[in-house]
This record gives sequence, structure tokens and C-alpha cells, in this order.
Amino acid sequence: MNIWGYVIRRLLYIVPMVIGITAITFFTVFAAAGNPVAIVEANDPELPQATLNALINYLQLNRPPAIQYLNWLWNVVHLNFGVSIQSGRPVSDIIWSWAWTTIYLQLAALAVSVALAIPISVYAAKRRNSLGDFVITGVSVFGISAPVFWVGEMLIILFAYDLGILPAGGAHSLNAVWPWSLGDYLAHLVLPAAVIAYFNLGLYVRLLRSRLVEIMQSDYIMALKAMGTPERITVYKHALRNAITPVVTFVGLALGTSIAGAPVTETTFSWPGLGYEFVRAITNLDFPVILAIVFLISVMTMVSNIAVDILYVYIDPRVRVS
Amino acid sequence: MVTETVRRKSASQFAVALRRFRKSKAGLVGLGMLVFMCVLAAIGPRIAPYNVNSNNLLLQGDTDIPPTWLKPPLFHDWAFPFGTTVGGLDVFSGVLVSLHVDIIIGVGAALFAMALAILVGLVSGFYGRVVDTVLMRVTELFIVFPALLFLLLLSRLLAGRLSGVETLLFYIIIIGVFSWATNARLIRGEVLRVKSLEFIESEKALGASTTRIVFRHILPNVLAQVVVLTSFTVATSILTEVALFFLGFGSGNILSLGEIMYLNFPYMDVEWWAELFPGLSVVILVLAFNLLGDGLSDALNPKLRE
Amino acid sequence: MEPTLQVESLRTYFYTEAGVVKAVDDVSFSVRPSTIHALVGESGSGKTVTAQSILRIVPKPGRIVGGRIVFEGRNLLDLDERQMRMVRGRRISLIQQDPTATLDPMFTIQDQLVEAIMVTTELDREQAKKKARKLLEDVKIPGPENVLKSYPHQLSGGMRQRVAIARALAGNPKVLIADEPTTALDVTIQAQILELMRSLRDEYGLSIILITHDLGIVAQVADEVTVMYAGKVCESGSVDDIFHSPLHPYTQALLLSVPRVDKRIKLRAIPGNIPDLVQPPQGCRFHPRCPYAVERCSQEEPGLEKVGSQADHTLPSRSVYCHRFREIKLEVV
Repeated sequence: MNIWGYVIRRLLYIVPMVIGITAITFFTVFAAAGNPVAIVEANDPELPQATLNALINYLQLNRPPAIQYLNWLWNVVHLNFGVSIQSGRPVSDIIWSWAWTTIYLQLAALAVSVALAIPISVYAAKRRNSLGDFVITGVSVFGISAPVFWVGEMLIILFAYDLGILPAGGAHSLNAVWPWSLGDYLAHLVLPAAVIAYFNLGLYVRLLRSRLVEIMQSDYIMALKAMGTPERITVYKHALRNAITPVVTFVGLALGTSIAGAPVTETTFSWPGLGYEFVRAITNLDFPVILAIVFLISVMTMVSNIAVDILYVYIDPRVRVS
Repeated sequence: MVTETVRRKSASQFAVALRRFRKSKAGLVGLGMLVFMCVLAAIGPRIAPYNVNSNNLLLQGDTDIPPTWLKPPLFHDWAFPFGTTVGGLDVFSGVLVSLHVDIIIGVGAALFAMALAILVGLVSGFYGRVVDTVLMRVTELFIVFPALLFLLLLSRLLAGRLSGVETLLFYIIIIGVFSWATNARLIRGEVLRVKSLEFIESEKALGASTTRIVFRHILPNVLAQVVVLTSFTVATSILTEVALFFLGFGSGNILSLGEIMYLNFPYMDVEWWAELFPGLSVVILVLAFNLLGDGLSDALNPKLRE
Repeated sequence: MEPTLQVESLRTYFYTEAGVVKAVDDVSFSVRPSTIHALVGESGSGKTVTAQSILRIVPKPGRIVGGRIVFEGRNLLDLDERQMRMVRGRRISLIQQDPTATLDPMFTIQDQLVEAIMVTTELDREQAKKKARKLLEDVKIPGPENVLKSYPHQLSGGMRQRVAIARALAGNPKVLIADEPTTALDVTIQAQILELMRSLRDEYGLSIILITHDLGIVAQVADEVTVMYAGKVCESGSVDDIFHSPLHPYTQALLLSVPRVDKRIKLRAIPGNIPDLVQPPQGCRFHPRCPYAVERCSQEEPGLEKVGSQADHTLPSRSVYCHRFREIKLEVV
């Protein structure tokens, strides 16, 4: 059907976008920080000349900026992201080891927030203006108003320092081995995932609840009631299905923002992910790493947007016709 | 004739909206909190009991130093309601003194972002076709851009070179630059909706000029949404700004709530109050703008009867 | 003949912030078997709220505060929710005004019909699918196979309304309440839907309560009519009687405000506005706009007056609520 044409078009569209974003990042760094060679030297003044020269050659650091960018782009197409100017490790290695932890943290948070959002919103919408609804809306608006890291800190203080039942940071203990120490991994996952989920839950519940309230007043819901349809079917099959369509798009966008916002949560929990690494890279102006992370996160955001748009087509029959 | 009706309509619409706002619990609470925080921020620096030096929280040579490392009133002294830190910072004074920075940056960034958003949204929605396509592509770029990452980068590169007021302006601009895009899209949507309303057609038929249509008719109708969006944008701007500072990418020469939290983060296990109270202040501030936004939304976009 | 459905002194009020809206205030009428009974009135007269009251789906802040609704030997207002659910869709059905919004846009016609059938009858899914097809045939939809597979937005307004009717018939109800079923449709489709209703009345013995503000529809298709104004009944009787010899000034005013093809008459709009239902006029609610009003009309509410022979039960009863109906000689239109 035409859906594949649409998907291909959207995927192709990622290319100019990513080029735009990485180019802007690239040129900003050089416009503000100047000569890349100087950056390298400032980073590590004791770098031996030979290593420095090798670095310059490998990363083409002595060419004009535009050429350097095109060179980087060319390498990226061949999946070569260069080397870290700080450690000399290939960037793809670095990214590979950090990316997974970010991904599974975000997915865990996403799963929890989506799973909880539905029953909570339905409850709040059905018992509108009741005490329960009031509490839920209050907690939701608090969730979107509190800085994620602050909530994280408070939970760490409570559960890790005071109660001592959960770890204060990191993805796993030093001697934990995957997959046997699953419990250990999960214990470390709880707080950061909960914090991200709480924030997103606030957003989803606010949106879904208001959509549900609106939908419950519509004609077809009234018609179902007039037919004696059990409430279970009216709410979960019909109202929810109609209410959820914009929420799906919203979840996709929120996921993108969440991934991009990883630096904050990961710093708070010393979580070894892309965000944490990004903060380090920025501090040292380790530009190959910076560029690679910007690239990756942009691609991840755009792909999740497209995935959500496609999902939307499946969910809403009215969109399918074209 | 037509302008008269539109103006009269706007005047009474305003009165109606005001009445609805007064009924909105969220709106009133939000407004109250906001007023309180603004007053506190304004008089803060004057009533703070201790000096707070943003460059170095370890006060040296200062005669009036609070005792160090005190817990808040539950355990100790009401003279230090929020406790103090090892470094000699009275958290209460710290909060009072830095509150206005967060407000200024948040509001400034939001206003800047909304100005851009209105401009792009109006032009794009109204003129359509090529202009619309081009502007929407640009907007899309800014939406997809990993904002926080780039903000961190910009801060790292440029913030150190600035001082005082310049720093505030810097943060206002860079945060604003990454907040306008989503709003622009929303405003454009609203402009399109209003554009298709019948009375615009009749205005065109009467021969009204383009500027007249845009400013006299489209803008007032879009204004409701703009006001609501602004309030929410301030909320997100403050959160962004606090996150930036918390990660250590403040410029180091202005003190804000986020900066206090950054400086005390390593000592969180022993001085949790130095994280709690500044954070709580941020929550109250952001909550105020979110509730206000809700109240404005109820007042200006009435949904079906509750 | 025993009436199928009898509404007696129904009162439904809305408790709003602005005050108590007396949307339906002492409304009575009877619906006989195999009859199309029209409920006529301007917007705000309480017609829709009456329909909602019969099915007891009045939305908050509304509440039924008094009266009886007698159906199949029971007072519907006495039933608990569980019993009421056995009535809705199975004995009494409703179709609404806007065919665009009355079907869920997310599900196919087959999904929705099968669901309706399974909710209102004991059939299993396979039997329900067959019945769904038959229902579409009953409402004279051509090419039912394709329609079953379609989504509501792919169908025209007229088709959607037919589907809505089919859905309402899923449980083999005795009474069908149609709330302005043709207002959102254009005239040619309107005629088809009305024709469909006539055939449903004839073939299945359905009683149809047809709610409308359009006298033309009443003339075309209704057998009996109840005229409502501001939450109250003005008069009730057979369409012939009401149209040719109206007894209530409001009915006459309505008839005079509709253009006619066969006669040249002077169109007269009814002066004044619909009253505020929170603070309705004292006495007869129509008196501020009534050309025949006297002192008594502004002080005393008119009560039910039955007209004509009560002995012959094959004829519909005729009733009117007006102090002066015997004295006023209304123009025959």
C-alpha cells in the first residue's frame, strides 16, 4: 500500500535533518572554540607530539572546517565516528558501551508510565471532580512541575541514605554479573526509571484524562449508553480507543525528549549512559564524541517520531484512507 | 461598524473570561503562588539574613558567618530555617537571593520564544503555500534538535566569557531559541482554524486589507491560546534553566537555585536540606505557572460543562 | 387499545449553578402501538430531555424528579439500574440527531452492529454477524457486504443514519425514539429515512416517538402529535385533528409560521422569545407571547382538558392545556 512509500519518504527525510543538526553543532563548536588542534592541546598539554600528529592526520584536524565536516560525514557513512581526543578510544566503541544502558532505562520508564497512565486516567475521568480525581490531578501537575533530578535526589536520600534499601547510583554493583545478578540490576533500575516515569506519567495522565472527559460527552458514547451497553465496554473499548489517538503521538514525542534529556537523570544517578558520557565529553570538548552523540540522539528521536506516526495510522482508521 | 462589534465583543469576552478564571481553583492558586514568589524574589536580597557570595560559598573574612553544617529547624535553630552547609552557606539566604534569577530567565526566555512563535505561526498560517512550507521545515528542524544537548554545548562554549546581565541575557536567548518551535506549530494550527471561520471570508469580501485582517481579527482570536502557551512555556523554561545549572553549566558568576543545587550535590548524603529547599522553591515556582496556565486555559477555552 | 408507552406528569429538572432549570415540567402523553407519534416544539422545549428521561440517561446535573413512565405494565422510574439496562436497546431504543457523531469512528460497521446485537440479545458472534447483515437489509441499505466492512467516515450521512437505525433495531425493540433524525440530512435523503420509518411501523408494528421541530415532517409521516413548549405540553392528538383544528394558540402560531405550497397565507413569526426555564413566566408559560392571553393566563397554569369522546378507545385521545380553548375560535389553516 502507500504506507511504505510514506515510511520511506519519512526515513529519507531524516538524512537532511541529521546533516543539518550535526553541521550546526560542528560549526558552532569551531566557531566558539576555535582551532580543533588547540582544543586537543588544551585538553592534554602533555600529549606527545607524535600522538598529536597521528590524531591530526586521522581526524584531518588541519583542514578547513568545511572539509573537516565533510570528512566526518563521509566517515560516518562508513560507520566510523573517529576517536575520542581524550582517551584515543574509537568513538563507536565508547558509544556502543554507553548506549544500551540509556536505551533500557528509557524503555523501562516508558513501559511503566504507559502501563500506569491508562488505569489512572480512566479512574480519574470516571470519578471526575471527586477526591480521587483531585489527588490524581494534583500529583500529576506536581510531577510535571518538579525538576526530574530533584525528585531523584529526594528519592535517593530517602531510599538509599535513610532507609538503605536501594542503591544510590550506578547501573549495577561492582561485582554484579549479567545475567545472574538480575536482582542487582533491577534494584539499580528502580529509582531512575521511577523518576523518569513519574514525570512522563504526569504528562500522559493530564492529556489522557482530559481527552477521556471530552470523549465521554460525545454522541456515540451516549448512543452506547442508550443501548444498555455495559460500562466496561463503553469505557475500555470505545472511549479509550478514541481518546488515545493524540496521546500516542504525544508519547512518541515525549520519548524523544526523554532520550535527549538523559544527561540530567543519568548525572543524578551516576547512570553510565549516553547522557552521562555526553556531559563528560562536553566538559572536555571532546568533539568527536559530542558529534557522535548528537548524531545518534537525533536519529533516535526522529525514528521514534516516525514510528509513532505509523502507529497512528494503524490506530486511527480515518487517517488510512489517503 | 464591523470593527465596533468586534471590539465590543472583545471587551465583553474579556469580562466573561475573567469571571471564568475567578472560578478556576487551579488558576487562582497558581496566581496566588506566583504573586507570592515574585514578591519574595523582589525583596529577597534585602531580607536575606546572611551574605551569600556567589563566587565562593566558603565565606572567608566575612564577619557575619552562620555556623556551619546545621540541620534545619526540626533539629536545631529557627535562625536558620533551611539549615546551613559545610561551606557556610545559609540555605535560606541562598534561596532568597537567587530566586529572582530563575524567574527572570524563565520569563524572559518564554517571552522571547513566544514572540518568535507568534511571528512564525502567524506568517506561516496566514500566507500559506511556499512561505508556510519553508517556515514549517525550519520549525521542524528546531523541534527535532536535541535541545538540552545543544544548550549544554553552548553554555560550555560561551558562558564563561560573560558577566552579570550579559549572562542572564545569554540564557534567556538560548533557552528561548529552543522553545519557540513547538509553540509556533501550535499557533499556526490555531491561525489556520481561525482563518477558515466565516467572518474572515466576509471581511475579505468587504475588501479589508491584509494587515487589518491579521491584526484586527486573527490575532485577537489566537491570543487566547498564546496566553495559555506562554504560561506553560515559562514553566518549561525554568525547568530547563535549572537543569542546565544543575549539570554545572552555569557560568559560575551568577547564583541561581540550580547553581546552589549543583554546588551541593556532592554533599547530598550529609546535607540533604541544601538540595531539598532550593528544589522545593523551583517546584513552587513552576507549579505556579502550570496552575496558572491551567486556569487560563479553563477561562479562555471553555470546554463542555464540567 | 392499551397504549404502548405512557408518560404521566414527568418532571425533569437540571440543578445548575445558574439555578434550577425546569426542562420538563409536568409532561404527559401516550404512545399507541404501531404508531408514529411526533413530539414537536422549538429548541429548548424539552423534547430531547423527555427522550432521555424515558431511557433514564439524563446527563448530570439533570435529574428526574417526578411522574411515571408506564411501559409493559411497569413504571420505568421504579426500576433499578440493572432492570433498566434490560429495557434500553432491547425494549426501547434511541437514535440521535447527528449521524456523523453517533457511530464510533474507530470501528467498522460490522464491529458496531455485532456488538449491539450481542449486548441486546443472546446470540453468539456468528449468529450476530448474520443478523447484522439482515438488519442492514431491513433498513434498505444496498450492498450490505461492503457497508459492513466500512468505517463510519466512509459512508454518507444518509447511510450512517440508516446504520444507526439498524443498530437501534438490533434488540427487536417495541419503541424507537428518533431524536431529530433528519435534521442533519438533505431533503431527498430525509424523505427516504421517513419512508423507512413508515415501513418499520407497518412491517414490525414499531411505535416510533419522532422528535422534531419541523412541522413538515410531522405532516408527512406522523400519526399522532404532542406539541411542547418550554417544558410543558400544549396539546396532543391525531395529526389530522391538530393540523386542521388546532385548539392551542401556540399550535396555531406554529402552523402559521410555516410556508405552504397549496395556499397563499401570510407568514407570521411568533413575537417574543423562548422563556427562561429557571424563572419561567407565571401561569401559562406561553402567555407573554399569546395573542389571546387574559388575566387568568398569567396567574394560573392551565390543566389537562380532555376533548372528544373518551368511550371509543380505537381513536387517539385528544387533550389540550389552555384556559380559553373553548372560547377561542382559531383560524383554520
